[in-house]
Amino acid sequence: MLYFALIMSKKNNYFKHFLSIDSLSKHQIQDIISVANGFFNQDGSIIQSTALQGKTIANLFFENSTRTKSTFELSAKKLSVNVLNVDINHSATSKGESLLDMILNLQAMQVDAFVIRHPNAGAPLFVASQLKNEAVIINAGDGSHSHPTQAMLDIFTIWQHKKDFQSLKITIVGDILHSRVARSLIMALNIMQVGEIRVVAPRTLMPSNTDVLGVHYYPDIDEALVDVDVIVMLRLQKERMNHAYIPSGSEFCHQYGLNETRLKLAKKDAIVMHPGPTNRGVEIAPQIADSPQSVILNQVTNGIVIRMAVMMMTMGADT
Amino acid sequence: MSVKILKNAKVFDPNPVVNINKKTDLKIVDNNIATIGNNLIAEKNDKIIDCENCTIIPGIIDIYADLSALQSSNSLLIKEAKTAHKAGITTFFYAPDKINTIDSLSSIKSLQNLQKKQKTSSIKTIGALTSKLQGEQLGKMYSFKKQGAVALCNALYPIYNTKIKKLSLQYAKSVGLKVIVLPQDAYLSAGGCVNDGPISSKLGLPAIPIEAETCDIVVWLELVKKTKCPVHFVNITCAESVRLIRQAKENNLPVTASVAMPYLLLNENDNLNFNTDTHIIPPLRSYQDQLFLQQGVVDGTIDIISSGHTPCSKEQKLKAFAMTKPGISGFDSFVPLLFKLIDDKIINKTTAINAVCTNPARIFNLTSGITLKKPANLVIVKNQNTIIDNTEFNSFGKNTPFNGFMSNYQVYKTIFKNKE
Repeated sequence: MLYFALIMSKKNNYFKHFLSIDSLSKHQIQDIISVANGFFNQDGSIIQSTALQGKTIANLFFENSTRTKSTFELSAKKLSVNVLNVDINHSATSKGESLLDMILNLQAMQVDAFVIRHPNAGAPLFVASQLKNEAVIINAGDGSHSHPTQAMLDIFTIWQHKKDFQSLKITIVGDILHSRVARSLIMALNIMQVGEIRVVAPRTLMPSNTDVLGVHYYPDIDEALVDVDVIVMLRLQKERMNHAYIPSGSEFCHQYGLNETRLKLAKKDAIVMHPGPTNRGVEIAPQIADSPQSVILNQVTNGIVIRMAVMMMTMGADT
Repeated sequence: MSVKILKNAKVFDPNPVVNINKKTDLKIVDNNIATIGNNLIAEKNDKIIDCENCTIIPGIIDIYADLSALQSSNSLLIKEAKTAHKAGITTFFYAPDKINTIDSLSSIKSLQNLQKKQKTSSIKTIGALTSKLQGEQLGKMYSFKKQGAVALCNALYPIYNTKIKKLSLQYAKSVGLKVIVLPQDAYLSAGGCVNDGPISSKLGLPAIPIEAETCDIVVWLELVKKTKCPVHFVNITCAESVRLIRQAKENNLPVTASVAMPYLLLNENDNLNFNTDTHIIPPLRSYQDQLFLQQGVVDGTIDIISSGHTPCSKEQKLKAFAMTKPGISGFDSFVPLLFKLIDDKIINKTTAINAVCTNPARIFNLTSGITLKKPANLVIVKNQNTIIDNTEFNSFGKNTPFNGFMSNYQVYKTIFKNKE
């Protein structure tokens, strides 16, 4: 909390909104890491704070979510924020109300911040551009565009285990085309000046221009895993696939799944990450998901402190 | 008898039949150009219009307006026709859409009756190439022609069955109507909203590759080769399409092409920041494609520049990018942007005016030209600094990415059917 106080004393609202990774500097990412790390007690438990008491946050999830939604709620409660979970399926949007009208109405109820997950890329940015007062928008994932808090918790997890980003080789495997997690993480890793970022996928699941992403593309997972420090596995985004991008799940598993043999290609102390939900036996073998090298559950815990940090740095605390 | 004398104007019409480019006066009696000459003397009741610092060009013919957002509202349609008139567009083609498929004679008749009552720009109908634009049965092409349709088109609605494409060209050829094609493969473009390139890769927006356009062009060109039916490709967007059309013209195929103004001035980089006013279909392509399209106009591969007028309501654009209605409102900004292309030396004045007046008239059998004893169908363009401002648009649609664009020219007056 001390470091957070130092940061916030410079400026009450460190971020106006939290919409995407690409506008962040390395210094800002380091600040988020520092603030998030400050929420851990010595024993690894997460502190309970009254820092944002009296504030209200609304969770608007237009897509299904378990981890992200739960951790945003937990993070808010850890900071004594009132949480309004809007049931989208039974809300006025199902009666035709627009996203913007919904937000404006909730704003009239004196909601201070909106956590938005939406199937359309750019939706949180659009809402933020239309708001006239001080309400905060936090992007909890928009289409295939961005998932900035996930990228931050991934960076935080890597930082916990590896510290020196510039010497790292990181491989991301799976459906890059449809993955907001991959796009955000790649941007964050580039900002952190990671040594090498490799991406592995069939060409059908790759964006057309990998150059602009700042990655090296590998069609062969066995080549891409050689000597890497971090492996990030992604699930197939079936809900965004309206065409036959792969012949079958089992063939994908055969060609791109992470198994024990393949894991041995990486460095001995390589960590394995996955944003969840994992499909055991498809992109990742069960014994790897449960192995000491897996940091998947660390990621989940880190999601709480990262989202606490983001709330503190957007909703502002008079410290 | 009404007489107008336009004084001190620079009259410019590069139509080879007319070919006039001089400072002169111009006398209009009732609806016709009576005299072109210096120092014309006005009678007592003649109206004098001072055209110092102005260029007079023929009325603009805009060959493709997507007015689907008007929901077939007659009052809004008249408003758009009045907008066109004020913007110097004296004729525009009303493309069929989902709501008004213009596939029945009553649709065409009601449009024609509507404009007879109003002294606005001339609205020409494009008949449905296939019944209800469903791509399964041929539209009533002969009847449409008799009712005044200038061409046939299936808009952006796909014709999946290639045999129907071929039959439609054969029938259109026998009827003597040109077919307008918006080339776009339905499967390759499905769900997309931006170009397949660096911006879509970065933003994660669903993409439309250029192959969606070029594959469809290739299919249509093969059928044109066989049927000899004249086809006009509208809204071409990429370098490869320009190459294909150039090659087809070199092989003497009866094809022509047009580009909409936004593709000459913008590219996919303008999609950054999810600016919904840059959401158009087909999407803005790369900067290289933009340059190629400009070159295509310069070398004559692309015959026509259209406004790409697609007015949208505020609500239709107040959504997340992919959910917004694609389109840019084009009438109000068309002349300032056209002259900006000229001023910026991207396209010379002769080519530009031919691309919006002479060529559309030639290709679609309409009249254009500043000619003695012919109707005065004129646009007076004033040399005056202007900043495009959508709050001043007359159109129903205020959707434009050109807000703040500067030009040295704006429409001063349009004279059409004896109305200013």
